[in-house]
Amino acid sequence: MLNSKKVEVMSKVALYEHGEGKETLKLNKYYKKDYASAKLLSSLPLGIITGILITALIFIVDTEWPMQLYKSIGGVMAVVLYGVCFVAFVIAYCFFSAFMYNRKYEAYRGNLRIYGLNLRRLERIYDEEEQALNSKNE
Amino acid sequence: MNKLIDIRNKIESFYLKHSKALGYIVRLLVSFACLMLVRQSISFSPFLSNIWTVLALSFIGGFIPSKYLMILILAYLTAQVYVLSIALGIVITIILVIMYMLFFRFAPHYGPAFVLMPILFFARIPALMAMLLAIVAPALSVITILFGTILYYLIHFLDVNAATFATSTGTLEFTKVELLIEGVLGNKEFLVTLGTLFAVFMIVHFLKRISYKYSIEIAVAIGTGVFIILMLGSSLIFGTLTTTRLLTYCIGGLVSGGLTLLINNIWHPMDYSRTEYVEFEDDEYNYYVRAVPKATFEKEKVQVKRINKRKTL
Repeated sequence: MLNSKKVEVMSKVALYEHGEGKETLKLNKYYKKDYASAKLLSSLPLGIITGILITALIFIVDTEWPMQLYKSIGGVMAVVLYGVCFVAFVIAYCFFSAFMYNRKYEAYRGNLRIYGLNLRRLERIYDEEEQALNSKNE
Repeated sequence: MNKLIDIRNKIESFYLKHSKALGYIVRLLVSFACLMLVRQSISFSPFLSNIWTVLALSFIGGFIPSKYLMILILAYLTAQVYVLSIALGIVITIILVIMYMLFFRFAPHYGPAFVLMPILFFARIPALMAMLLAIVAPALSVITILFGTILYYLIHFLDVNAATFATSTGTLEFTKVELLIEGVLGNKEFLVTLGTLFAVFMIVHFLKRISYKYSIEIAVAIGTGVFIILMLGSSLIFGTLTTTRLLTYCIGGLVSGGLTLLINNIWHPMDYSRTEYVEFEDDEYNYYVRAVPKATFEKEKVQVKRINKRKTL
């Protein structure tokens, strides 16, 4: 006979796994700190690319400005200043990524908890069924 | 109010019945509207501007997830610009990639709002998106409004100066880029609109959080007022105020405010008359909770009482 409770819980679990769970179940493998750290590291190359693109855009928008800077403070200082700004931008980008993914993790954690509770309920139902079957056999 | 809730319930039940089909239709319509707007503003490639190409792309847009819709529309826009000038195409690509890396990589669900911004500008109601996002989304979503405004003004500037860009084939590609960037950044209207929408968003976002009855309605009313005052004030200061602008800003602002309230009331109907204030505490905090119940509408149950029994033959 069909166990309506089991069907209900299994439907909830399946619905979650096929919907939001596709993305969020990946988060379940990590602790919050590990997840944010992993994302921070993976954002590093993207931060560098974004920094290069912004530099390119600045050069395209105003070609004279970098030359003026070069003339006013000297070549070495201009390069150092650019380097400092670039590194600061990349660090800020990485921390912004970590902040955004932290928020994402927090937002999804509530539904993940409910999913975990449903899994535990399902496990209990299976245990009960198994016990009932064993007692029947005895 | 009851009518609104009734409409909402009808829409909800209709959507639940046909959610898949409606999703395709809405995505198809949004992509068609966005592509048509781009086509109307910057149609440099005869192939891409062909109505059948637009229809085919809209059809594709209907079947792809909404977070990729933004990429389709922006790819179409960039392709049109590449036909006009390779240098301009590269600059537009760089700008869009930077926007993606800075925000939409983390929040791709704001993509549709971003591509809808130019359409709302075209309809003269850009404040609608600013106020709507301020109510339903976190403060960080203001970036969508700012990037959407930049996108619109890029399209607008390319549209206005299309003839200049197209005819100046002999000149260096670099000059076109300078013209575009200087044209957009030097445009006072662009800077004023950017600042105004930012201010409207922040005002509405922070006012709606005040613990007061009808805080959302008050926030939207003040946001609408700020939008109209700032836009009219800046036009007065720069001496660009005309009757058309006066009407556009006033009517556009009021329509934006009205639509925001309408959409919000359909989306989250609140019954402030039954607001409850609860206070409680645990080991660490005191809680002061304001609970506003959702407005519900129950159809009147009509009972027909028969006074005379039917005579049976």
